[in-house]
Amino acid sequence: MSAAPMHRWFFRGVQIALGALLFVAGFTKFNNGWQFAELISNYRLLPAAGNQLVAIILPWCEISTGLLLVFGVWTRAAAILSALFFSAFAVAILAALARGLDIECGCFGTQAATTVGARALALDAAGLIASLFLVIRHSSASALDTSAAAG
Amino acid sequence: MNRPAAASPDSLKTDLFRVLAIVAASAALGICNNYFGRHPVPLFAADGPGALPERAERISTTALADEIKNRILLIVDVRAPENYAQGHATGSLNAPASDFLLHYKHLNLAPKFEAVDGVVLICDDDQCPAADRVTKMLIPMGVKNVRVLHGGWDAYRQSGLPIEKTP
Repeated sequence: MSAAPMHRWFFRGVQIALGALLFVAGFTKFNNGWQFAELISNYRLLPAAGNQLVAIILPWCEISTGLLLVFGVWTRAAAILSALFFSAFAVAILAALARGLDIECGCFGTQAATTVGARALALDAAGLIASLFLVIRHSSASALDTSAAAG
Repeated sequence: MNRPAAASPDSLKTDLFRVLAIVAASAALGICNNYFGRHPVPLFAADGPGALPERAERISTTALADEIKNRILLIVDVRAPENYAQGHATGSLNAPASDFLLHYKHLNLAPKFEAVDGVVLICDDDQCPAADRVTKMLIPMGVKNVRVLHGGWDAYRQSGLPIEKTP
């Protein structure tokens, strides 16, 4: 196998893994808006209306971004959005850690009880690196978009 | 050979428009799903979910273990039913904060609250505005000695106090 197809498969693998991660994260939250709003409020970063709005919209943003990445449609736009999400999550986690808050991460809704800490931060960093990798390698992404559209 | 193309301002602009389109479509889907959902989140409700009410009085697991021996306490678990089913304090009742008043009537909690020396609410963790909000609701109803378990379910689970699961 030549270097180019291998590179392409690796790229595609990262894209699908990141998309699946985002899709699962959104899917576990989209029907639990009430509990998710409470989880967000634990971070003590936004006013009530902000927590409510994020709880309603964020899960669907994660689901749609995840699906676009998995199916290789609008890859760079989805990767930019994904990088923005992971950056925001990192800021929220770091702010909680800096203030010594012992709270649930809410990364995968109310089901997976992951406390804010090194594990949540590591997962977030991995997501951010993968998103930035996809944004930087956008030309390859465009090639995949084209191939996906073609067949 | 695939040669990486330089990102032109036009393509960047297109991608930014696509980002906005994804957010707008997702927002529309989210608002519709919330509107038609089982437990819609009240948007811009100052006292709704996501609002931070005043922190209610806390009770530690050690104090709870002592009080259980000498006084009649009612433990009310305000977590989601699926979390309650996975494990809860023995003898506790589940009245999720999202539907508290509905469960208050359904479980006939009013006479139960009157018959006990105190009520302890269990939430997921210590930063639990849901339990604080329920406390704020109960005090004007005349329920006395309402406290929230410090550390919530995480602390209870680690305390060695009796736990049961819903079959």
